[in-house]
Amino acid sequence: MRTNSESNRSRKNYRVSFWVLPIAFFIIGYLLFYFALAPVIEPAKSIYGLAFSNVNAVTTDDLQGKDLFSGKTGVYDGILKASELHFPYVGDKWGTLTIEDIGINDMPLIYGDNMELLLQGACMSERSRLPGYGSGTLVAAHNYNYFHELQNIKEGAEVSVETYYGSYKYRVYRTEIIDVYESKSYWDEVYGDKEMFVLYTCYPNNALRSTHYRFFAFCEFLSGPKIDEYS
Amino acid sequence: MKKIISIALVAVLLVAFAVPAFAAGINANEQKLLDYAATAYVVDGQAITVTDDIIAQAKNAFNSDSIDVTDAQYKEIKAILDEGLAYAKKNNLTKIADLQKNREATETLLEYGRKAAAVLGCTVATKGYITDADHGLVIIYDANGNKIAEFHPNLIAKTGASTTSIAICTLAAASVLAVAGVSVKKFRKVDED
Repeated sequence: MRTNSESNRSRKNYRVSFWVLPIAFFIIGYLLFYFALAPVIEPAKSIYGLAFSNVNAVTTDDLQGKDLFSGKTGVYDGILKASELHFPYVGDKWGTLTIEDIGINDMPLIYGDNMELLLQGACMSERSRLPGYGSGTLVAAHNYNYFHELQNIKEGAEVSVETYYGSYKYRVYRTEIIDVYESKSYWDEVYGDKEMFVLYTCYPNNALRSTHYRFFAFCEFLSGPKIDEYS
Repeated sequence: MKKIISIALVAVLLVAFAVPAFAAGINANEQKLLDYAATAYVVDGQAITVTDDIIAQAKNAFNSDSIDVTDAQYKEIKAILDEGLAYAKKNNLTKIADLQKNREATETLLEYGRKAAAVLGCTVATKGYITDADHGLVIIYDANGNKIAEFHPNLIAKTGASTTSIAICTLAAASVLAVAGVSVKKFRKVDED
């Protein structure tokens, strides 16, 4: 026969086990999930959106900036005066990228490479130069969508860049996996005095953690108009 | 004769307006500022070189349609930069790492940057702490609110899915489940007793 005190203790334990603890765990669990997930909710939504939509279907409505590119210009060489060209603002679309060998067609090229812009297309670092300005153009995109196939690019592949002021052709002459925290071997190519186009993305594609490695494709200049920025 | 002159005048005007002219490109004053940035900071006889990527970004900013530095503006900006440079020398600030734990110096230098930008009608905004590699951002807007430049400490962007938070989340969920399991087991045992 149970005494009153035993019965009370049992009722108390029942309350703690079936009411207090589940509610406490629910609240703690919810808060933990909330704080842990908060930084990835937006990117996760974007990834979800990209997974269920055509990657190349980014329209000008999605862009933060203006769309400076309105189709091929028919300018393949010569010298253009910078004073006669608009220069893009951060977020503007300034051209398209096509690499037929790996199935990249008319991918938007955006000026600037912050995290929001990287969700919209291939992004050019503002700390590099636009094509034609006599130095390197550094372009990045995510490995889970836009540059998923970049790692399959081979030396000799042709890279076409259409800009709002001219058409450029490049050819891949080297690919390299670089630990960007340890090595700056890309530096000479990007900041030399040669026209270059450098593409990169995180490596490998299926990494389950943040990676220091990037897959780089270095492309040499074949043709396109030059810009005189001092006129 | 008048007719010929009128036609010639109209033709000249048409040609002049047919060629759009923007402030884009680098003028002599802007080049002087670039040279200043590349050579002016000398500590103990050694020049602190501004890296190529920063020079590239400065060139891009000067190419903006919104910026066309005049002689008077150049002089005003140079005077502000001289002051900023003197402050940096006095505080022995030679690299970004020197600013990581020195918020006061960072804010002071930012203030010099804001003053220099204001000469051109530009404003400077920040997001996060500027030396924070993941979240720090300095943004320069022109008078019309166009973003001329953004500066974040990392030159190379993060171009993979961020899995760190997912890992933390999984760990948190596993911890909650483990604690819940142990507690339920413990209370069930007490009940059975």
